Parts: sequence; structure tokens; C-alpha cells
Amino acid sequence: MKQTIIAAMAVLLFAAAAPASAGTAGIDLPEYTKHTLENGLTVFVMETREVPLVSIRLLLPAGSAADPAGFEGAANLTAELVMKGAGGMGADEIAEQIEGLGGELSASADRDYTAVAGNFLARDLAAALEILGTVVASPDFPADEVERQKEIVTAAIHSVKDSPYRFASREFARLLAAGHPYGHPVEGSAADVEKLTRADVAAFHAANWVPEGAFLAIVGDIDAKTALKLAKKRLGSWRGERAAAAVPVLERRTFPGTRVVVIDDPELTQSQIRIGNIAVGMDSPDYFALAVGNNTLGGGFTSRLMDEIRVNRGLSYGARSGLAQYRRGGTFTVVTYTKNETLREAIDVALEQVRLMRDETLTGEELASSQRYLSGLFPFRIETNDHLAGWLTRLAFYGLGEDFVETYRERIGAVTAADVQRVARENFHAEDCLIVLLANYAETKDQLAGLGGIEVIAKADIE
Amino acid sequence: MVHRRTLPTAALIALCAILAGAAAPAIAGSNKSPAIDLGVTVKTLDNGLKVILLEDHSVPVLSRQTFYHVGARNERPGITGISHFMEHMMFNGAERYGPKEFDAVLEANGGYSNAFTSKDMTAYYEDISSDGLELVVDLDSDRMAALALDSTFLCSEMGVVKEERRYSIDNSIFGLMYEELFALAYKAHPYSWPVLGWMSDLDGICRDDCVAYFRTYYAPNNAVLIVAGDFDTDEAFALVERYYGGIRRQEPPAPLRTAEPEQFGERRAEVRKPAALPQLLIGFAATAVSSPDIYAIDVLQTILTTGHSSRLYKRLVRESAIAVEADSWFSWMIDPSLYIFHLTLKADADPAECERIVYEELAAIASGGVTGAEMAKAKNSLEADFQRSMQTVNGKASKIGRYEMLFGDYRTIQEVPGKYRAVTADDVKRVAETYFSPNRRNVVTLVPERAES
Repeated sequence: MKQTIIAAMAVLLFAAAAPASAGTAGIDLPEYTKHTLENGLTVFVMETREVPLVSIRLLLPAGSAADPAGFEGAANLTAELVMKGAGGMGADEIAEQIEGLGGELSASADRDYTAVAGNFLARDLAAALEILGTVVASPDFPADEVERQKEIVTAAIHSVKDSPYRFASREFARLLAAGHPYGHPVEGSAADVEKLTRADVAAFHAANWVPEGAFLAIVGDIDAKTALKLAKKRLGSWRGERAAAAVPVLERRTFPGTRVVVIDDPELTQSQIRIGNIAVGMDSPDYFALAVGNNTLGGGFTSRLMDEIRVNRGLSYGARSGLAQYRRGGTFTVVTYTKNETLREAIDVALEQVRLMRDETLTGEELASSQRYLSGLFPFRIETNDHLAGWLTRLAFYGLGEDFVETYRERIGAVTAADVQRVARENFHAEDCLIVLLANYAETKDQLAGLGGIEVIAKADIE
Repeated sequence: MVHRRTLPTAALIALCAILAGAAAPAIAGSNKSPAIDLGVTVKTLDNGLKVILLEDHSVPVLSRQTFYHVGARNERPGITGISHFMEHMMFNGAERYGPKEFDAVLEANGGYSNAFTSKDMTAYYEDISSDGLELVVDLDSDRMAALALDSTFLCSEMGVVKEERRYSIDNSIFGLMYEELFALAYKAHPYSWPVLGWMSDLDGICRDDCVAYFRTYYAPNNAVLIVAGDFDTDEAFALVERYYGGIRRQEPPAPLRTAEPEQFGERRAEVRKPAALPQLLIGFAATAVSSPDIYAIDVLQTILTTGHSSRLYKRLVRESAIAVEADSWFSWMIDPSLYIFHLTLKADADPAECERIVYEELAAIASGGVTGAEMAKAKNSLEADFQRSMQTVNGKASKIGRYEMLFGDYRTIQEVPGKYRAVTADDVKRVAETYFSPNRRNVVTLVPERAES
């Protein structure tokens, strides 16, 4: 990773030598139509002929970021509950209808949105849309189901503590974006979920599950005209007005001197490591440069983190970096884990790799490799109906442009080593960052000196 | 259970659920669906390598896969985990492509590779755009012909594998329970030990073990090569012949001799660890993939735990509200495998009460059978699952490989829909009665202990 002017020259050479196929050739999405209904719902319909299946996906601007203060988990509970009673049908009846067709349909909340999505045999599209329309527009929120679901969600929240990987990631996100709606887990906290009432859920639904700003995609072995007609018939009369406050911007912040939080679990023989900081959101013009930079640092099997932590030193089974980009901001995280004895070594190697992304430009070879890797694999990300329905709705929801897929390779190919270094400096921090360790503190504390300001929390003290 | 070369993003439990449903085609109530014709071309090279090509031009990509007849099943005490370790070593250098070069060259050409090892098989694949066929054939044939097993990389890779074990077993409650279940249910047969191997064996495996293992099991006559996707069949055969044709065949491995003796009574074990929620893992000694009962068992599995309208989900999660998750799966395996239930309970729930309800439901099916509506729903679900598994070139190739390993013939895929269609409610009742006998039961209970603090 030592490169200077020679590297910059190599970039040009590689760019010129890249083969067309995995290089910058455009990728076409299958043809599709787009209609905005009177109520504001946008409907995409795409015909594919590979398998006799159809995917339906509705993206609603009703994510956990919209949870009212003190009611963390409202979006998630609402999503769970629409399937538990709607239009006079009970939970069992809804499940029976979906599963009787061999179909799958579920609603799940994410930070920015809730997705109601499923997959059916193509012959059952009309029935599938009928169920989707009912649960979306006319949920009943039966009181007994609210109570039952609260218990299940609470148990799920507690059970995260039984998975070191998930628990470390959850607490890292909570600490990194503390005070912002992107910080709390989508499932919420057990204390808040306990407080939620049927009225809260109904109010969340009324304020957020609205057609304006929602996107429906129907993709599969169907007739486009018929599908659109069915969608209009079932969802055209859906009404609602958004009454939720806008999500504030996730402000950039740093952790001067680096904040180290150790969650102490004396059972562990392997420590979970999370390192990161606040980064830019989905609306950043640096989307493509970040994709290339992140891939080089912690994407595939040849990434720098993988090479240094796993391949060269055998310190971990996995080492990667990732960007979570949302509407109002994002986060950057390095994820790895190692046996107690080598905790500090793994942290130091990870920090050094982040630092190198900032301090030095990529070699031409690395840049070209990342570009070709991302471009070459892109067709595998648009292979299934589910993938396609996901892209259509996500691109529209985030306003990423209808030519995103078509121009993906071109824009990845246009990223320069200088771009990558600039976005790395802005988004990948090796200093003044947050480090969360889920670790056996008694066995590892001697290694942590000099890493930053250390706080220790007993695992048992976290809900 | 299968272990990938790198951390799967999905949780282990989810992975098991996926695997459970992986081999499950069916068609119900639809006479429109044509008999499945995969339209493949098959040829066996002189050295015994079976080559299966599935030309499909729908997307300009392809998936190349090699399946080897080797897994934890072929190991012995002292070298448990070596199959999975060899899977890792196959990425660490051969003759034309030295250490690190496999991944470096593949990724720089826009390809992705991964692999998995199970108790019965080991598989490798690359997904790449259409023009990458020669590259991946070159890369894969190089390691089949002349794996380096470089000492430096043996050592660092063993570190990686031990971390994998610490990750997915030693520091995972479900991992510990799963390991315990197989050790409980198998007294003689190699299914007893984890695919990842015992830690002490990982400490002991040496280069000589690997060299011998490679020679025996990584021979062309012990493998099946599959390519699915956008290519020309004749050109692909020529390429495969050119790159793999010169690899020498080896003495076929000795067949596995040990069979698991019959179980004559319930076996129980506990795992005591600090945990938020109690869990139960119940495995019934079931049957092998060669049994005609596997189709009825799959229908039964769907009726029991697929979806929120399934019998056990309704009874345990909704009506009695004792559990928060109720899952079950039956893995098709070469030798008799387990039908496994995994139940996650509410914090204050009594596992004994949960067990009682499960057995009551199983007994109800064994005595009273299932309804016509349940049969129809299960068959629709199995049909849709089959179609979902055929959506990608990777999915198709991997299905062919899996069936080759399990049945010795991919063509079984084409028969399976009919087999499911033919399952009757009486078959389902009979398999419930046969395999859910208390004498076949192995129960692992997670007893949450208070964390010291």
C-alpha cells in the first residue's frame, strides 16, 4: 500500500484496459411502466418470464425514524400488527389465505421505511393484491393481538443478547447515533414497547401509512395491463394524509480522543469489535466513490481488512466494513471479532487500515479491481423478481434516479483514486471514532491501554 | 448444517431454516405446470469427472460449481473438521495461481466465489459474467489438479477456522445446542461431530493429513462439475475437457462402513449458559434420502411449522403463547438424519410444558391425520419454494449439484414434483406415527443461568 505518483498513472492505464463486459457497459432493466395514482401512490409494473412467480413490494415512508419520542418500536409493532387483523379478517384467516396459496407476505419496518412485501405463484396475483390492500389500508389492530405481539417483540428484543454479533451491532448503532431516531433499534426498547397501546399503533398507522410517497412494485410472470388494473382497483381508493414530523438530519459528530465502550460478558472467549463514525446519507453525490472505497477497505475476500486481519494473520473468520446510508444521514462501521488473546492486535490492524485509506491513494490495481468487482457482480443483483421489485421501489423512495441501474457501471468506472481518498477522509475515521467491544473484560482489559477513553458496562445492565 | 467460507450475514438459525427448505419441490392442484425438464447436457470425462451443463441465456452471467463427495461424514476421530478445513485451503494457492491469487484474479475480473461444507458434501462456486467461463475453469481446475497446501497458509487458515468455530459454536448458544444434539443422537456414525470439527482436532491436524485427504477426495472421479447460465454448451465442454481432462483419477475412497444402530429410548441433555430466553432442540431419528418417505416428511414439516397458519406455530405461539418461535426442519442426507424442532420460549415459560404440547400435537397427527386443506396448502407451498429455488443460475446449478451428491443423479429433480403430488394424507399420518415415536427422541434443553456480574 505504498503508492505515490506512479499509482496515479496506473489508474489511467487500468481504466483504459478494463474489458467492456465487466467494465462500463450499461445494464438494462427489463421494461416497466410507472403510474402515479390519484391518491399519490406510485405503481411500477414489470413483466418477467423466468419463473411462474410474482413479487409484490410496497414501500411506505413509515420507518422507525418516525417513532414518536418515548415510543420507540411503534413502526415495528405497527408493521407486525397489520398482518394480525384487517378488514374484519382475523390473524389466522389472513395467514391461512396467504399460505393457502403457497405465498409469502409480511410487513417489516426498517429505519426509513416499512416494506410490505411478498412472493406468490403468478396465477394468484389478484388474491395477493387483495390481501395486501386490505392489510395496508384497513388494519383492525385487535386488542388481544396488540398484547400478544408486544410480548413477542419484547422477547425478540431480549433474545438479541443471546447473539454476540447482533447484540454488539445493536449497541454500537445505539451509541453512535445516540439521541437521533436512527440510534434506537427498529424493534425499540422493551420499556417503550411495554407502554405502547392499541391507540398509539393506530395513530402511527394513520400518520405514516399513507399513499403519498409510497411505492408499489409488481414484478413477475404477469400481464402488465391486468396487474396495473388490479393495483388501481385495490389501492386506488386508499386514503390518508401524512401527519408525521420530518426526521432531523443525523449531524456529523466525533468522539474526541476516541470513545471506547466495553460491554462486559465474562462468558465470552471471542470478542466482538465495532469501530465507526457518522457518515453521509443516501443523498450524497459521493455514493459511488464510497461504494468503491468501502469495497477496497472491507468488501470482498481481497479487501484490505480481510487480507490483513484474516488472510495474513488468521485473527478472524470475518472482517469487513460497511456503510449504512439513510435519507437523513449514515454510518460507517468496521466489523470483526477475534479470540480474547488477540483483541488489541485486531483493533490496531483495523484502525491502521482505515487510516491508510485516508492517508494514501489507492493503487491503480486496487481501484480497477474494486470497480470491476462491483460492476461484474451487478447483474447478479438484478436477477430475481424480488431483486427487481426491491430496486424499483428503493430507487424511487430515495430519489436515486431511474437511470441508476443503467448507468451504475459507468459511474463506478468514473470514480478516481483521488475521489476515494477524499470520501475516505470525510467518512472513514481512525481517530476520534467510536469503538464498541463486546468482550470478556477481565481477560482483555490489559490490552486496552491507550486506545481511548474507556467505559465499561456490564452486559446484565443493558436491557 | 453448512459452513460457508466466510461469515454469512444471516443468523445461523435462519440458515438452518433455509437449508431445511432447500430440497423441496412439489406441484399441487396444477395440471398446467409441465413436467420439469432441466434441459441439461451431461458428459463424463475419461478421468471420471462428471460434467453437467445447463445453458440459459436469460441474464449474461453464469455460475460454475464443483461438488465433491466429501464431508464430515468421511472423517474419523482425530481429524474431525478436516473436510471443512480443506474447503478453506482450496482458496490458498495451487500451481498456476499461488496463495491469494485465486481471489485476487477472480475479484479483479468481476467474479464472486464461495464454498460450503456439510456432513455429506463440499461445494465450490464462482458467479461471474458470461465472458468469465474460461477464467473460472482455469482457476478451479488448477486447484483440483495441484493444491499447494503451503505451510504458512495452513497455519494462518487454521487460525481462521478456529475463529469460525468460536463464532458459530463456542460463543453461540444455538451452536452449542446443535453440537450437543448430534453428539447425543449419534453414538457410532460420523454425523455425531460438528462439520467444524472438535477444537482439539483442529489443533492436531497436520499437513500430511491434508495431503492424504486431498489425494483421496479431491479426485476428478469423486467430483461433479456444473455450469449454469449464459454460454455455448459445445464450447464449454471443450474448455472443461482442456482444463480438467489431464487431471489424474485416483483410487475411489472406501465406502463408509459404520451405520448408526437403532435407538431404543429417549435421550436428553442440557446446556446451561446465561441466556435471555429458554430454548429447546428436539431431534427425532428419522431416515435417509434413499427412503421413499422423505416426500411425506416434507409435507408433514410444512404442515407443522411453515408459516403462521401452521399447526405448531398456532398452538405454541398463538394459542398457548408459550413460545415466540417454533421452527422445524428435515434435512435430506445420505445416511439417516434427524427431524429437528427448534423452539424459543418466553423468558418465564416452562420448557417441560412446551415439550408436552409439542408431543401432544405430534400424537394428534399420528392418530388423527391431517386435513385435505392442510395437504393442499403444503403442496402449494412446496411448489412455490421449488420455483423460488430456480430463479437464479446459482440456484439451478447448486440444486443439480446437491441432487448429484445425495441421489447420485441430478435427474431425481425432475421426478420430485410428481413424488410430492403423490403424497396422501395417509402417508403423512403414517410417517408421523413412525418417526415421531418417543423412542427416537433426542432432547437438548437450554437452561438459562443468571449471569454473574
